[in-house]
Amino acid sequence: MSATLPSRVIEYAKPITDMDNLDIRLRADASSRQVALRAFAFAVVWLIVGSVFGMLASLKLHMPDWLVSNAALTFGRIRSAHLNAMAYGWASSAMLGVSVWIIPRLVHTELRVPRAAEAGLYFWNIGMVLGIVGILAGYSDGLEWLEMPRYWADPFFVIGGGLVGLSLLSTIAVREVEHLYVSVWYIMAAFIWFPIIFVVGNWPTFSGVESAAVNWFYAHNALGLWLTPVCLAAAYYFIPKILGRPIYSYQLSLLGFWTLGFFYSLNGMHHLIGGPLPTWMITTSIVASGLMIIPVMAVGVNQHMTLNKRFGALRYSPTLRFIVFGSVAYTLVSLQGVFMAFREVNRLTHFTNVTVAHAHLGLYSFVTMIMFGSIYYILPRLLGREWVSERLISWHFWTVAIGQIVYLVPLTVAGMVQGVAMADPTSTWEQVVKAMLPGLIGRSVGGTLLTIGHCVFAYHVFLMFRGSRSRQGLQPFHEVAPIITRRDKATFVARGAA
Amino acid sequence: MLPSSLTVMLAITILGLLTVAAFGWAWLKGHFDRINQQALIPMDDDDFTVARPWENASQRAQRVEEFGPPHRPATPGIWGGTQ
Repeated sequence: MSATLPSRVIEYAKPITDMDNLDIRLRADASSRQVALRAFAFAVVWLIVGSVFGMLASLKLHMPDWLVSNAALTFGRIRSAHLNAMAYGWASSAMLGVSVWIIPRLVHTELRVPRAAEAGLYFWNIGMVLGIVGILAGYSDGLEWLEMPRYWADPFFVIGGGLVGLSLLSTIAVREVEHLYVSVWYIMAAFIWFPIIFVVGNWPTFSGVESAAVNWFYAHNALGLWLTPVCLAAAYYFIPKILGRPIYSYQLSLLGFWTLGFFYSLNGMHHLIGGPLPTWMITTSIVASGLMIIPVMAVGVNQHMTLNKRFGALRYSPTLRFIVFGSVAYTLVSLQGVFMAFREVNRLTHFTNVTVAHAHLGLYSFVTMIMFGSIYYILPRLLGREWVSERLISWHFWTVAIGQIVYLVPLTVAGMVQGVAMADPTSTWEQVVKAMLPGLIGRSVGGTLLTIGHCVFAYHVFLMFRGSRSRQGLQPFHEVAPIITRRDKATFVARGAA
Repeated sequence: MLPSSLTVMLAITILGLLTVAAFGWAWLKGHFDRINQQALIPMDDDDFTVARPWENASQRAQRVEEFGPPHRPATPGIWGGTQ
């Protein structure tokens, strides 16, 4: 068999010696398989839908007369549909899949009530469809990050998220390991924090200034107490697994988790600097934002030191490449966020495209890249077959990596130019818009590259689900081999005999 | 002053108290004991004993010293994504 393989591919032919250990993983993977696969399928569909909305919204910023005859295609609706499709459709669905796959592995037990988790996933995605249709139809709630109609979509998110959370928390409750690894802490906390902030954010009785305060309490925490913990959990799982060495300092990882829990919920009010809110409230938020340096540096130093002197692994592991990119972006976006919370900086960046670039550095460069990396690791283990094409993975990585730079750098510069121009009382609004134009065009070019990368990724995932024959000549790695054994016992016996 | 901030204050207080309660529970249940061993929870035997082609000679020697010789060489895709 080895003669048919590329020279750098080393055939796996030895018997599996740690069958018990492997068996735990296989049982864990088998229990979460259906839920995780469906979650990834939904996620990829939303990734493409959200990318199309994003492209349209970006192009409209420098082609304002394009597609204006239909109300559903106007900027206000398309932009909200893009944000919600990406944050709740793509990122959250992918995170649900990663969570249900990681938790059983880390607590050494099978996923409990997987049918509840599966039903939860369907509820979540029904809510997504209703929410996006509602936004496009003009029924937006008009609140940042909470545009989906409160009474159409939100009940589905509450039920859906609750069912997945029930499955995960009950799995942790009956765990076979004594301690909770830091990734379990992060995921468990995310599934407790998110329902609280979601219900508070959607409570229908607020108006005026209080509505703004509650809105930014929710919007900021949606990133910090929902998206961030699950992505950090994934990074803390995959980096040691791939490198074959435990995390550099487990103490630092716990420090990062607990300080995130203690400080993050206070941060949201820095979005309202200059607004009609009590000064002490804004100042408290700024101080808490400064304190975020502690969890951010704890994570950044820890992950860098774990990878230190092993950067060669990035050549061998696409998963690591995506996840390290995301981890570096986490450090960058968090430090940028700390500085943007200071009044002096905020005076320049508030209401400018710097904030838009900052949000994309967080939700894309950090969250999305870690989800891509996670899916590259998980999907072969669930489907029992290898990714179809090295080239497609490479194309995906480089288009989105370059796309992000092309997107973020011009947009950030344009935002700064915008901030300076808006602070100048002699500038007209027309001059401000013209000054931003190169950055907005750069954003569309970057967004196009990102969309191309997403299409490559979606096509590759489609090939995986369909079961391409082009890789059948390759012996899959040992974690996958037993799954194939069960499916095709005769083939395995023949291989073993050989 | 209060009407504009009461809800957020209450929500932040609830989240903060929950975190304090969880921290206390974790402390009492011994989740901060044997810290270095906890770092090994995600690691399986074969995570240590599959050869890492990117490691240099001294790193390989250290791995052999700590975990014994590699049981098996690396296979394509084991690190996530076919390479």
